[in-house]
Amino acid sequence: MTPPISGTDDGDLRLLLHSPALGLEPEPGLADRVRSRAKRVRRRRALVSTATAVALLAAGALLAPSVAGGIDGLRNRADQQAGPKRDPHYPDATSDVVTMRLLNGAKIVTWFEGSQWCTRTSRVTSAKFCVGPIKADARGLPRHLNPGTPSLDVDGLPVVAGIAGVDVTQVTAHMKDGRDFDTDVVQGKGFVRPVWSAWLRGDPGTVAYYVGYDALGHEVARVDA
Amino acid sequence: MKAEHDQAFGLFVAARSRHLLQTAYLLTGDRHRAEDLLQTALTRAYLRWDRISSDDPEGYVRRILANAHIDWWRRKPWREQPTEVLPETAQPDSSEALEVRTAVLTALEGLPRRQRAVVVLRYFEDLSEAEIAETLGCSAGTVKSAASRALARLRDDPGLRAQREEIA
Repeated sequence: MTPPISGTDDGDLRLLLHSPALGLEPEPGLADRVRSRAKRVRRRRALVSTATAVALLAAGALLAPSVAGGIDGLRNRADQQAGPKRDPHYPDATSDVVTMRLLNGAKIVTWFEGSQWCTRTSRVTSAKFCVGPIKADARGLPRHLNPGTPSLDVDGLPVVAGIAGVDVTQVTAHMKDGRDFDTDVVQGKGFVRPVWSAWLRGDPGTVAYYVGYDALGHEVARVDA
Repeated sequence: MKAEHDQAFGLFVAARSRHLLQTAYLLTGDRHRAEDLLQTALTRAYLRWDRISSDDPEGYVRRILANAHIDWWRRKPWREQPTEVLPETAQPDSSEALEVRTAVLTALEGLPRRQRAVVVLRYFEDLSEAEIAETLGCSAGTVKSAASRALARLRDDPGLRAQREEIA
């Protein structure tokens, strides 16, 4: 017997939503399909991590000759300073100033000042924010900035960023509501360690923790937000 | 260890997937999307089973279902389009069951995503306002006002009203 419908009464609405007419039978083998899908997700994560590692190595290999050439050139030109390209907007930078993200026409940039890791947006009101010291041999996820950090804020959009340790090639941000976000890892000349960042699209929610993976996709670090 | 993990997950799916699929169906109004949503949520749960199995795996899956539904619809190119007639389903139905399903799904279809999620969590999952607020990551006040607005809309829904009059 189908329950009565009032549409206004709490009890009736409850009965109505529990009606057998709205019941579905899950397809057989659901658990097996979920396990296969999980395997594919793991494989994809491992591939992304490997690809990132390969890309970083390739970038390093490509940069190496030009760096070597640059060093040779510098040896012959005593009047020229060695090191990353100087940006007059960041006079204290000891590394390249790299754009991590472009959001609503604003850049979120990152750089190093010695062992201090700095971030800032291109919004006129923004101020730089530096944390450290960051060690070149740091492992895991030594530092991170949660959503709401002023130096990452563009129009209130939730952005996270952090430092990847020597054993980490890929990082994911995990929300309390169960969603997770892959992050992008950037490296620049003079960077003490690579920097990861993500824009947490959709409802902001709350970050629960961050996970770092090695080049094979194995979890090597986990830190609470 | 992995065998235990798999077995526990398999038991959980066997015991709760029917209920969770109905939750997903009420959220999406479409069988195929509901199945896809449930698979997505269960996959995430499986990947974290070690951490969630001793706590509240069903709550975890429910959170993913509700939030993935709200978030997913925003990002997918094939966003939900209101239709005059609900898609047919393969299962044979009595006309009475078909009428109930059409009335309920059409009424839910008229609600914004968050209000719809609040109604499903409140009246199907029987969660309190505080639990819904935690699930959706918003305040209890937001849940209360969303529920109130949703009920007002459902009260005015012509399909539900017609159904009610017919039964009365």
